[in-house]
Amino acid sequence: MNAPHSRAIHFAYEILALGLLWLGFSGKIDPLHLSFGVISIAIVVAMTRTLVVALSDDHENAAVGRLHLGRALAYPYWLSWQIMVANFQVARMILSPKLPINPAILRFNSALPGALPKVVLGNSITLTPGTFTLDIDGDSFLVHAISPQTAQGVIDGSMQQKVAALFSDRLEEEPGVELSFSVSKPRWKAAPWTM
Amino acid sequence: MEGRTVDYVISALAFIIGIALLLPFYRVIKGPTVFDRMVGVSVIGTKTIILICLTGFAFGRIDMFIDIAIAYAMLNFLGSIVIAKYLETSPEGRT
Amino acid sequence: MTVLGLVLLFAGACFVLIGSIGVIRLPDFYTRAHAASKPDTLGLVLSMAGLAIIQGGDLSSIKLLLIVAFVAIANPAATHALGRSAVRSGLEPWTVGQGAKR
Repeated sequence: MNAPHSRAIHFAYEILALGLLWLGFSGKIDPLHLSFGVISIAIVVAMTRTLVVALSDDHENAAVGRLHLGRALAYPYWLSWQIMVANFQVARMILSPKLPINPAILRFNSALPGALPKVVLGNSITLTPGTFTLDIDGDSFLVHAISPQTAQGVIDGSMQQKVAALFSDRLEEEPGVELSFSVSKPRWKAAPWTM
Repeated sequence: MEGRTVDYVISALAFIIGIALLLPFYRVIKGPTVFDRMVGVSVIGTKTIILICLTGFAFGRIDMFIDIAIAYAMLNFLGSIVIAKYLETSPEGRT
Repeated sequence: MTVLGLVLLFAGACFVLIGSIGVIRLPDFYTRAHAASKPDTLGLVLSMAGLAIIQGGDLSSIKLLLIVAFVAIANPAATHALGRSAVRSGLEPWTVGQGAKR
């Protein structure tokens, strides 16, 4: 990819997003407020210059260009449904007097391309049934699960495949989830849950 | 629905959220590790955002209070991130 | 419309309360972080949506939706940052065998 060209596009996106944000926040379109907006956008673009250059030079981020638009539009609906389910499960767990939890640490590798898909997967895992992303180191994810019944989406890999399908046609292979009950002394076992 | 009824319901909801805001202070004071305290603080911050918006609605100045809420949300997020980064690098940051 | 908004606000307040109870009741940091990320985020999203509906489509409700978008991304990220620093500093998770620890 042609680097200066890609940088210009990234800066154009940034300016567009900041401008829309300014219009949303201020809601006034007289020359005075618009000039304030232009000045603030210029300051922010100058301050984040190095970040945008680093992002546009990072070729892994080309994944954004290959985003499947249809799936990307359908994903938030699926995710909202999952979030509702997750919240009712967690709420029932918290409110039931016996506190039926059985926490464990899951670890799996994921071949997602680039940083953005990993962020999407990490945030989705945190928001959905009983799982919460602890650490992402390269391709390896560390996930805390509050109880076995609620972590099925991560253990059988349907969540990972859902996110992978957003960014490429190739489906992700089985994630090979490993299980442990400790952070520092890993005694990894193969899923499914054994306890 | 009549405006007065809406005000009463909003006040009752603000009361519920106020209770929900006071409960995590137990965790902030008691919590065995510093991470427990930080979880309590971030939970309190989320509830404060809702409470600020409800206050703005009750006073009829929601346009002004929302800007405060946005600034508060960003400060809450930045505070959590900064302290998490600090704890990650500090060797004795366990209690 | 106002009734729908108030119902959403009520549901949001309930989830927020459940999140608080979870932060107090659950046994260790990692499980508490579950309570801090999920019911809390949903409660805030529902409350803001309810206020936006009561407000009825003017600039304030757009700003409320901006708060929703920001918090829905920022809250899991902040929890993840805390969890990561807990893992890297070697905090051990609670397991069923260990009995109650409040």
